[in-house]
Amino acid sequence: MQIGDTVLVAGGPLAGRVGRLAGVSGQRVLVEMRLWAQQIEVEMDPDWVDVVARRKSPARVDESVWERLGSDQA
Amino acid sequence: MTEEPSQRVRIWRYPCAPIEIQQLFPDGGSDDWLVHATASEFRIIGPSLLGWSRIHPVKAVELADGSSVLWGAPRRAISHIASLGKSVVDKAPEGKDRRACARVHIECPIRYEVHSEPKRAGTGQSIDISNMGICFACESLLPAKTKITVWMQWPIGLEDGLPVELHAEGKLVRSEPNRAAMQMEDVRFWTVA
Repeated sequence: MQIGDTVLVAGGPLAGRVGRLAGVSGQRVLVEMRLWAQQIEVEMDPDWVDVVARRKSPARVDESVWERLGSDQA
Repeated sequence: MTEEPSQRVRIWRYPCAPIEIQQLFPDGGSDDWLVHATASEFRIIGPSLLGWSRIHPVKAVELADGSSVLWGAPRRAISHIASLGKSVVDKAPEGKDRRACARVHIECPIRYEVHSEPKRAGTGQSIDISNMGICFACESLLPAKTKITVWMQWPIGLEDGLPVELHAEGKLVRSEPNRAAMQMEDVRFWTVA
């Protein structure tokens, strides 16, 4: 999973909606999505996020969210 | 144009939320969700999130700083639909009972995937449902005691016309040639685009 990936929200009240993985906050992920004509950033548990499409251009630096989550836990 | 500072919406599974947020809704269960939104974010998403109350109980509490916390209880959707007049097969029994909840007759299309080796997928129709499990008609004899995922078209959609699907994970507790019953361990509702 990389920053910029298109993700499907898989739990909570936004389940079924699609967004873009925008970053990591502690052990949680940030998903940017357009909801009701507004751009919103939503923080949620990583297991509520499924990747549906990889970002088109690979990140120059490895931005593996899972690695960053691991380092945040250290 | 000046905008209010953007603060993110935060969503948790009930057991993973900060304790002070959980304490606002002491009846919460493991399948429930909690959302915290600032006043400005709540103006955007609040009405739509409250729209889930068509499907299952949703409550909102405004905090002293003007932000709001919402609580949703998807597993209670079955009691909720029974209260809307859907045909109830068994009322919730009084006293102690293994199921301890009402079973509601709902015939809706389902899809399922049995996590056996090899994996099996199929379609069918729900027969009845309770807070604990789903009984459904299926295409063949399914291997009992295996993990299963069921997607069930919910008979009620959201107010804006979005159809809703129940996503249940659990295990098969009964299996007959053309029907099976699952015990739900994880219950979620999805909007279907």
